[in-house]
Amino acid sequence: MRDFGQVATFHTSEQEISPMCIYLVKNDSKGDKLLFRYPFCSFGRPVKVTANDQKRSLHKESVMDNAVQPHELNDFTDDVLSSLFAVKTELCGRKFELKVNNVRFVGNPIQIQTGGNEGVGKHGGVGGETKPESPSIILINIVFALDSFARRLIVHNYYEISRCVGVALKHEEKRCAYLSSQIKDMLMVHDSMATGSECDLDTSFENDQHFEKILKNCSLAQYLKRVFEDISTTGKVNIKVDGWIDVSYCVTSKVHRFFRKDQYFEPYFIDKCLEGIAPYHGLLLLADRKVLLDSLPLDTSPSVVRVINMYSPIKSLETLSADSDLTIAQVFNIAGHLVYWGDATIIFPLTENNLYTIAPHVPTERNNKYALKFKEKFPDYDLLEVMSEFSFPTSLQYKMCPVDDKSSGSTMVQIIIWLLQHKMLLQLHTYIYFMPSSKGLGYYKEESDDDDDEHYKLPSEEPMAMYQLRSDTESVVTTYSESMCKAEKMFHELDEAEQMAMMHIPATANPDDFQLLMRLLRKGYFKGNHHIEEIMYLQNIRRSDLIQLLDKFKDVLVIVEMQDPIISCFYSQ
Amino acid sequence: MDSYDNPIKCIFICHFHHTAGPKILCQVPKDFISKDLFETVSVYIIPKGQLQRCIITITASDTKILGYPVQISDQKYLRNAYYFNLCFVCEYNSHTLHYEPIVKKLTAFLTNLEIEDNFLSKSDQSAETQEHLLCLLTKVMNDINMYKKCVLTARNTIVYLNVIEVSRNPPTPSDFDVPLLVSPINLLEDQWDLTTRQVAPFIDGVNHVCKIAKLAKLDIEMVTACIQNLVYCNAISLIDLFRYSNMYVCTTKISQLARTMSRYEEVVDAISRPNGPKATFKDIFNMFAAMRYGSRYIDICQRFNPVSLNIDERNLVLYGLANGYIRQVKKHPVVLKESDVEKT
Repeated sequence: MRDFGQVATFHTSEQEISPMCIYLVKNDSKGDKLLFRYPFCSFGRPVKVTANDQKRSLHKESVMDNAVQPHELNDFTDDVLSSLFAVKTELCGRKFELKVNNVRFVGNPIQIQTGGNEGVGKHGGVGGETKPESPSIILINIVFALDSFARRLIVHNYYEISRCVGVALKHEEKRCAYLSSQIKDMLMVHDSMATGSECDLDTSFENDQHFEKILKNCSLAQYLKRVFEDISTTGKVNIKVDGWIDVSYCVTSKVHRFFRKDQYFEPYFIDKCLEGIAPYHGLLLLADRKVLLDSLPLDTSPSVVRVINMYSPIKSLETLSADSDLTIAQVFNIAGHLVYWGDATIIFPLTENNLYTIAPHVPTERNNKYALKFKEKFPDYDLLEVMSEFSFPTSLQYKMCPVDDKSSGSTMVQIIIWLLQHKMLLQLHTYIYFMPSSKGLGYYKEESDDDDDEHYKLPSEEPMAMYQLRSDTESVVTTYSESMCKAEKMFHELDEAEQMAMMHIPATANPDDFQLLMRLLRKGYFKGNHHIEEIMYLQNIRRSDLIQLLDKFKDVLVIVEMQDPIISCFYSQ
Repeated sequence: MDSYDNPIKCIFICHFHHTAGPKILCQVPKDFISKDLFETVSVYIIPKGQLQRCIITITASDTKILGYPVQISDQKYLRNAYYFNLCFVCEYNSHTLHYEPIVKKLTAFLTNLEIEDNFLSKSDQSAETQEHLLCLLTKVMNDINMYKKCVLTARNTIVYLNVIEVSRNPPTPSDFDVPLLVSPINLLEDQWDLTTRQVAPFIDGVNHVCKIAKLAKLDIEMVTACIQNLVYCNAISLIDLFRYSNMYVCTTKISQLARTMSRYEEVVDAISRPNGPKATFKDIFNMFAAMRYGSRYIDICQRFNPVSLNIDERNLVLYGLANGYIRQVKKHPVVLKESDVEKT
């Protein structure tokens, strides 16, 4: 049996996703050197490498003791690290992954040609030292230190960031020798601070000063610091290297977070959601529209801006595409993009009939950070009180009861939007299963109607045409006898027990009800894959008609209330 | 491919030769690690002093090399120290965390042999020890790849190597948690310890941790640790105490239940009352569907009368929870005002 220790510390995903440190190492003809690392302040006295001999179990908590605090990184002196990161040329230009005990280092070493070019631009040398340099090759490695338990996808994210920054530096070096001048500046600080005969082991305090000065003087160090801080806080990197090259990256697992600390957001969730997205879904921006517009890079496509300007949580994507004069495929793509970057989420557009309830794992402590944030926005309300009102599913209609005056209604809508933005509310939908006999789901052949199936593939081009086409075919009402004929045919496909069960229902005798039921059945809407709103949208039926139908045939239908599976992946399970 | 189910592709031992520098001493299969590759990564395999006795994993081109470099300081060596490293080589995209303890243990074993009679350092010259070493490594590689364990006997010592999957630490179970069997525990297997053997018969999805401790006449701490261990092994999962006043709701997985008709029989068998006619799937599904926000389980039971439907209501909930078709909704009482906290 395993010994889990006295305190079973629970490992949060947070620690696995965030980097512990970022390093910049160079290797050229003059040898390797750790130019910069961030964060550089060592906490307390540096620990020397003796910790490794400790008995360590395979287990997490033993890992925790050491790795979680970034202090363990201090075990390794800068010299050792730089010799590790200054890889042989064979390992250049590909993913560099090294794990030492509980720390995983990842980077993308690249070789950059320096010097030799004519235009030593604005950064050319310090202190009038501008003699042209002979061309040489320098190896640069930007390395992130991560928790050893970090998932491969997360590790890969950091590799990508390192690669992006590396490519930007390569370009800037070619353009204006930015990199070599930065390296020269950094080396100068290192040299000027290195006094006398100190050996490297006990100079971590000194080193801190080096790095502090480098951070003050070198813009590259500032960029690296920003990369580190941005990823640690928001998960999104957006820098302009040398004020010239944009480097943007998004660590999805960091941007999308769950209330449950031990649960991960897997990037494929987004794909899953986007695959299932339909024109009746809506978009919900997670940030203020203005803030979002300001944060967009300069070269943003005007369509994105247009969609954001036309956006409203009550609009479906279809409406949004009409309003912003874009094809629905474009709107889908933009929605996907916004969701990926954590700027928006997919919802069902706000309507009066929407049923909301509180999401699982929402923090319930008094005065938690969400409660305080909420108080700031809605001073007259208390988050926990509002949450308790949603303990049981509540519709918007009910919340905005006509007794109250109008203004409180609109505040309620604002509150619901806020709660949805913070994933504190989830929406319940009604799903229908056709189970006429005791054996379970009725077995029948569905109509092999391509139009409807198409709808579930994310359309790449000309989707508008397709959606219009579909609703047209349905609205071209076939003659009465023809549709009756189809319904009869459907009915005969059911087995005997199922037919009997149908016969027992009085509404079967009513041709209109019977035909509608058979039509929906034939379309495969009663297998629990489509919620009421979806059926209403796809079949152009009014809610009241559908509800009536469900009521009339309640003996053969089973109604389930649950979340839309497409949206549910954004919630902790 | 299951990334944990990755075989060791090669095992090699290398050391620092006093004149030739880093050098591969022996490897199985032969010539797996090319000289070029070895030279590229030798910095990480025979590293500088500070990195001795660290588990080092380096990913290079299409392989992942896992090693535990060791330095033995002794006057008898030409450089006053002997450096060696036993490395496992795996596919570059595989997990190797679970091999780490094995590498460490094997290295400790080899270190002892080396200290005793220069087993490694002399194998450079002697063909006999070279042969012996080759045998050992081959056995380790084959056994671990085949059976996930290996028992090594050499010079009156026995080394047990066992691959254990690494995953997160499960939370400590509370006294009121109820363990629910997910996969059967075969008590005949000798892999279970005494406590587990004592505890296992009482794990039935009904007894909570505290009660199990009483029934098994064990300390609650022992039982808690045992239950936590079983959670780690994925043998059980923890659920809340079953009460009729609990509230359960359907999750999005419920649609799988309806759609996978091939499993209907299993569902019916698991949920029907024993010694009676079988329940019908429709009734079972109807009861699941009735689990909504706001309806306590007792309300549902009163509405459906599960006895008359031959449904074992307790099994219904257990089955639903174990398969994730339903989840429990809990009440969280909160005192809203700070000033009221004192009064409570």
